[in-house]
Amino acid sequence: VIIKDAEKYQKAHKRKSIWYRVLSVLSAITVFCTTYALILPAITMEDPSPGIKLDNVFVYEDEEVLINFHVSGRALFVNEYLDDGNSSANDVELSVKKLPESDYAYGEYLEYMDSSLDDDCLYTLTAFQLSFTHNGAVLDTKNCTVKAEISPKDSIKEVVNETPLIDTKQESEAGGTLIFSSLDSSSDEDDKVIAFSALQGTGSDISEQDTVFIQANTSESLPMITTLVEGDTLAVASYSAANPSFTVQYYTSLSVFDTYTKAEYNNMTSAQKAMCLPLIDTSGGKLPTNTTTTTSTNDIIYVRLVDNGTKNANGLPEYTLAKHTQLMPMYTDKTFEYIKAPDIMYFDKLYSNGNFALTKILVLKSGVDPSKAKDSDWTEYPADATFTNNPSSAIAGKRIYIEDGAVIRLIHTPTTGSYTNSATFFDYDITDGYIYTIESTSATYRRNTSKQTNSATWFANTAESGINKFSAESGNAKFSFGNSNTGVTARTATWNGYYINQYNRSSTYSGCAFGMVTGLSSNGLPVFANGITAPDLFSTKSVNGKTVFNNYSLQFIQQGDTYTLAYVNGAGSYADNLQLFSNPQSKYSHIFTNNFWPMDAANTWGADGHDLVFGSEQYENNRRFISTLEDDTFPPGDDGLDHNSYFGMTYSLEFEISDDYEGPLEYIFYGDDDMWVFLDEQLVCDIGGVHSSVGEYVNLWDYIDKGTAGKHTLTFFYTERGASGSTCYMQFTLPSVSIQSSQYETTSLNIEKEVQNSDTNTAFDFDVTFTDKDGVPLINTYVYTVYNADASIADNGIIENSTTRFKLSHGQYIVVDYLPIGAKYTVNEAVTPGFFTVNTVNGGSKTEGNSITGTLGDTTEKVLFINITSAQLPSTGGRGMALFFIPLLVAVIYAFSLPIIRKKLSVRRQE
Amino acid sequence: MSTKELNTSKEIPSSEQLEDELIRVKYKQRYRKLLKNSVYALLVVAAISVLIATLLLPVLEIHGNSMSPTLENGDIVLSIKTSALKRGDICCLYYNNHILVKRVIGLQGDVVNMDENGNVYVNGELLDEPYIVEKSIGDCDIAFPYTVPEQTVFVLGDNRDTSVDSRNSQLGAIALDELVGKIVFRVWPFASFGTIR
Repeated sequence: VIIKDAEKYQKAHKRKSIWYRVLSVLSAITVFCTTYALILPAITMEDPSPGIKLDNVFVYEDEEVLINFHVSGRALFVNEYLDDGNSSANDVELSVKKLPESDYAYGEYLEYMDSSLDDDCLYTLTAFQLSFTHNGAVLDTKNCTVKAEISPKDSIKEVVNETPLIDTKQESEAGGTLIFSSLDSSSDEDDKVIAFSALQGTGSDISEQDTVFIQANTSESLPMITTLVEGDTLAVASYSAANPSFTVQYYTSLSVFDTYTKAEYNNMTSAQKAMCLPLIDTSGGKLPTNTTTTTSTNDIIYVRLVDNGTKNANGLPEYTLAKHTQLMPMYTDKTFEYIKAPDIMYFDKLYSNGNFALTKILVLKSGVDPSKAKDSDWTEYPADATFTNNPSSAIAGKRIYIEDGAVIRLIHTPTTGSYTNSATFFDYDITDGYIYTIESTSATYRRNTSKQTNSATWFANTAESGINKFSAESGNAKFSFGNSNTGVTARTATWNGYYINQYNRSSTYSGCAFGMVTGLSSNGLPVFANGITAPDLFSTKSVNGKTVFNNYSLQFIQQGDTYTLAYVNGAGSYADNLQLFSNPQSKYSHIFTNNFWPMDAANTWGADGHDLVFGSEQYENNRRFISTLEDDTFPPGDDGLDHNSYFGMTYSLEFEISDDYEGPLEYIFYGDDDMWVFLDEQLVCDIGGVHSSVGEYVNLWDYIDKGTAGKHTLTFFYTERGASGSTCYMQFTLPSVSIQSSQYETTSLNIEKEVQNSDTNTAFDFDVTFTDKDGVPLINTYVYTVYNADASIADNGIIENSTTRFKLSHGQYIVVDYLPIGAKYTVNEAVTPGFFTVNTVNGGSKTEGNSITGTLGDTTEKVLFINITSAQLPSTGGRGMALFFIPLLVAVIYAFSLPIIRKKLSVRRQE
Repeated sequence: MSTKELNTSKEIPSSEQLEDELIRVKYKQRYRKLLKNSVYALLVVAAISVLIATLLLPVLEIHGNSMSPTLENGDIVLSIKTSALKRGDICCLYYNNHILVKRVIGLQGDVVNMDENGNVYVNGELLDEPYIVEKSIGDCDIAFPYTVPEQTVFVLGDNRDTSVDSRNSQLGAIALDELVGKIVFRVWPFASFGTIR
């Protein structure tokens, strides 16, 4: 029985072993199959394109030319079965074959040359056929960029130079090059040039890709030309061509004041006269004097005010000075040779001047004397027209044929912008810095100026106080502020018999006192005439009764080279729209002012130690002065409002003129009180004294020699000494004012969108915001243009209030031009589900994120936003791990815990 | 005599018959139990292999030659799931619903530079790259030197001439989030069986 049982167990053990082996094999197979099923495909990502990637330079040379072919891109095998995927770019060869004249492609180039050149033009033509091969297999390079740098040898030039001039067309052959020659009608060899051209295209699409010129019969070598080779042929041609000389006239269509002579003024109706402002005409360098300039002289011209169609804050009409457009020469005419100036950019002096834009080109008809030309003698072309010395290449309305002696008139129109110039302002006090409760200067009644209220009557001590508190040299007239109506002691001061501190009643023009300053001191301050003692008015030194303000600037409206004062930056509404006039009140219809009260914005008036404000008609009796001369109320303002009177201003600007500039160079002022302007150190504008508004016209050409280039400085000194009213209208026309805004002082922002690995139709939302360097939003309006990938325009618009929204799809980009250098920008892209975004600036490193901020430099800022589809589990991973993970985990746990459970159950059963 | 005959004849079975019947029933039970256990075991083995292959050691089959000669087309490799990579590691990463295999060249903050001859400099030092057969600037449209952005790595293929990698702006630097793991072992072909460096 024991043996029997042993055999039984042995059998069972064998069976068990077999089962275990089977199970092990099955497990191994299961593991293998399962794992193999789970193998993920991993790609190494290589350039999958067929063919050969080229970035090679091939050199071709013969007796006439040396050509470097720069080839980049992927060349394909014409017979794709020859592409084994491992072809090396080093095995690629370029074969260049000169085409015989019998070749069809050569014939097409020949036909082009015949049709584009004059019959009497000599030329050589060589055409090449290019073919790329790899170990004999022909490659298709249509997807490659083939750039040819063609360096001609002197033999080509000599062929043209030395070819005999005969009257019939003949052919000769030199290494595949045909030379055609015929009678050259140009007997003047100086006018002849040699042109060297690269030709490309087929049939009617053949065109000259690049052309260079040199003077014929010179030792100069022809320079290299470059062209992109589009097809499999390339031709080079050299030919004799005309080198016409032509004259360019530079004209601008300027807006100039309507001016009237004294005689014309006298013929006006009284209503017309009422709208005229007189200007002292200093033309000829004649500055006004106290004895010669009166209302009866002919040195007065008039400008006219017209309704601007707007109203000021008080609801009164605003007026502007009447203007008309006048075509004026800006530079002396200049003659050019075509080969040295073949396009507008070479001969338009204003090409890069942002203050003017070329609007049209006029060409004088052949044979017409320019000095006698009528409008009908000019042929008009658009500003983007091009030029040719070949009559056959001329295209009506597009490409202008320039013949020898041609006269071209360039017509520009001014562009509008703004110009800011720093200025220093001075607030002058004429009181002792206190107010008094009664008509007494006793300390008992003295109060700080800040105690002033409208409801109470206050007195100010104007006797020898503030800026007027100084002693004049013995026998000198004391220059002071306060007019005749504030109790100032020096109000009656006279210099050579002329009142200098109040309306000069000595029969001078409009109460002015001319000649009070004579020049500039070494430190750039006005020098007063002998007999006048003035305080330090315009320096930044500390002087009693003077407060210096450096935080203001003048903003001019720029139109072409003409600048009109419009704002005092920092003064707000107290000095704005200064280019417009209005009546101070409707009852004063004879007074025109631009309400120049910049110091109303200063923190000095009403402050302790300074003046109180006055001028209010309503509170006139509450603002009084005390002096040794008289006690009275301060004078009311023309507009019936309180103002911080008595102030000054100085600024300077530089301009540069070239020796050929002959455009306008002038300055116009209308206002009160003192206005002294120096050109370098020469006084050119003189309106001294305390008076109502007076105008003066200055032609700066009276002081500058035409034809002399140089830099000049204009220095301006202005004071308001009389209260009641204040006007300061000024305009100057100067070329090349320093700090002028031009195209080259602005920059551009380019934002481009690229979408990778996704559909290309998705439009992504952006917004862009611009601020200045301090974070203040830009106030100007800017134009933006959205371009498609092929550079066609998709959209455009304007950016107002410093921000805008726009959309970009794959390949599109937006360009914002004329942004100030140093401005900051922030571009945000709205989050689009399914994409993550990286950005890069100017091709730099990539950063993940939907927003970027930067500062604009002096070159175009290029921002690229790349959207990439968000990574997901690979396709072999199905819908995710959760579906697998949970049941598998349960199965594993069950499997491991099953023996334990069974053991426990077995124990329980045994119990 | 069959059991059926026994039942129909309603005779009392002999002890031998009962013993035979007991052996048969026990065998049947053992057979079922063994079969059940075998199925369970196979299921558990399959489950474990799935979990390991997907969570710990993904198995990858290489397609393409841009990692040549380190990895050739058709190689089957094991990778370890990790994002802790160091310079020189071969990594796999997600890209547009595919898994890419490249070599880590620059870590975040590194300044990577390449010259025209294909020499790679990291933070100014020439990288020793014995795994490369021929150096090449390859398909490159980014500006060097290139600073690897935060949370990204700069990767290159070993076959520099044909590889499309971080040198191409289409791929660029790889975000750490996109990394799958590090390739450590080759299982196929058997001739190259072993660790990969």
